[in-house]
Amino acid sequence: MSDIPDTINMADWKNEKEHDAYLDKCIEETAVGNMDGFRKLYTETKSSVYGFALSMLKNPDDAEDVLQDCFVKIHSAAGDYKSQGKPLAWILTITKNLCLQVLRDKTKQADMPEEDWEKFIGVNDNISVEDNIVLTEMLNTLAEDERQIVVLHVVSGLKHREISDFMKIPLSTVLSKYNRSLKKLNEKLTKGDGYER
Amino acid sequence: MKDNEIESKIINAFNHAAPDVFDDILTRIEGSSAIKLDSSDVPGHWDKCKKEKVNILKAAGSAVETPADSDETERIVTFTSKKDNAQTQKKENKKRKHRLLSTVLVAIAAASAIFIPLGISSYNAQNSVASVISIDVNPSIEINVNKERRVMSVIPMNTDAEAIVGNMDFSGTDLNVTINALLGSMISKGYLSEIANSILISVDNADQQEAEALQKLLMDEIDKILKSDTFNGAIIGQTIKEDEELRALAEQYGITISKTQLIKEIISQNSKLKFEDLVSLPINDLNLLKKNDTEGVTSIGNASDCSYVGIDAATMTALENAGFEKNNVTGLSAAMDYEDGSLVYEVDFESGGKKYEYEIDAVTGKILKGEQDR
Repeated sequence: MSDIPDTINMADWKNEKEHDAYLDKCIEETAVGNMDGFRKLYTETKSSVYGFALSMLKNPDDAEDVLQDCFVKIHSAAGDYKSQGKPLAWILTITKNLCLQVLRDKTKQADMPEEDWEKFIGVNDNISVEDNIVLTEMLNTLAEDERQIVVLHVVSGLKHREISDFMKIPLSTVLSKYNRSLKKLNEKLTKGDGYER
Repeated sequence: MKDNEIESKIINAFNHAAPDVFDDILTRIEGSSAIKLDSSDVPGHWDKCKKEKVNILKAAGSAVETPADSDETERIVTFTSKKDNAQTQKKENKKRKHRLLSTVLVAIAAASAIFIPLGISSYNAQNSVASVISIDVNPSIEINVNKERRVMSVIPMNTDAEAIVGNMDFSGTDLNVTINALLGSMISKGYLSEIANSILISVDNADQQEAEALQKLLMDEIDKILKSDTFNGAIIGQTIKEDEELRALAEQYGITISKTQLIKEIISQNSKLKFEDLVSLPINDLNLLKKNDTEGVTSIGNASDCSYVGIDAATMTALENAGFEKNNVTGLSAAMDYEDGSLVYEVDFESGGKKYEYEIDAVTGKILKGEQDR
């Protein structure tokens, strides 16, 4: 596993293919029981998994459960994984299915009561005041599909074309929704509802 | 702000928000090496896996008997117990995050709620029947619960119900768990399905407010359970106003008091119907016969008419026979009825000053009667 470098941020990967190959290698190592590879896979994709789960479930507790379930599943299914050059899509599909299961279990809308959103504050010591504003605005201002598109592009680093495939919606819709979402967020975050940047 | 500034803020927010649960994941993996998850959970196999049933059977756990003749059910039940293990493990991981004291307190509270009667008054509350809940599908089951809504006993009221209850012992069990287990069993044995989706819930409690609250709670819970299955349920709820006449009728025909009361309510809305005709009908047919505004009865969902031709087809048949289109008749009404030992659709309409009355066989779709009056 020494040939796999440690990295933290998606932004560090300039080359998408290189990144996919890295994830593929991590899954391969996971399949043969190399926990170091599994840990690297986790470090590399946990924000994507958590972010996507949060955008679907709008509830930090549920998203954390899905994050755990997802990696338990990845660990047990790594042996069956066939690389088609899209390791992140595989992981995100598992995430999506787990989220759908949570929603089905709850048999209720993804929306949670207003007061629950505030639970976000203090969920995690790493969350700064600014992070909290960004997350809350994403949950409050954006519609569910807009939120998913933004998370998939920004946090998971998927191309708009890949998002179109993954969410089964036309590319033009992905693009227009993405641009509109960023505009909405920009308005909220610059002027804000009394928030100072 | 530029787009890339917003994007980097979003990346930071999610990177910071994603909790570090790797240790928890490792613990679960180590704990579950013996219960490796099915490959049916990964994409591609997802649809084949009857996830929905897991919820229903989850509560039943090992209490649900596995019918030897059904491989599929067996697979689901086995899968359930695996999932349960994983869930338990997850809960335990989470628990470690809490301080020891709170864990101990919770444990003590839970133990005393179940096992240790706190005093004489509470002992009495736990040992006397406060509400009698009846579940009627075709299997009819009575559940006696105490004031704290814990199950004291589950009594099968007919032979179908005996098969459902089996050897399961529910005394002291949470009411929701009991309902989940019984419904799971009814679905896996085919008593509740797309074809017969109706279930009657009746609550008998001297305290009318408690009876209504319990009825609503149960209807919501059952609605939730059935919604997560592959078909939508139709739930009828009522509170029992028991009297001598009701009890005598129930005893005479060997049916539950709750079914007796429902039939009486249906007849009070349609005087042509006879009590003895309706006694043998399953709840789903009674639900089809029931008018929407039947007094004292609340309803969720629509009774399945999958085994009948359907009200729209019956209406079409009548209109075609009379030579009309839907939009050139007035006063069109169609409803389920019971005539000469079988279910029929009664279709009425008017056109050109004439009144038309049709009866369509609900099973065959044939016209049994077609009349026109001037």
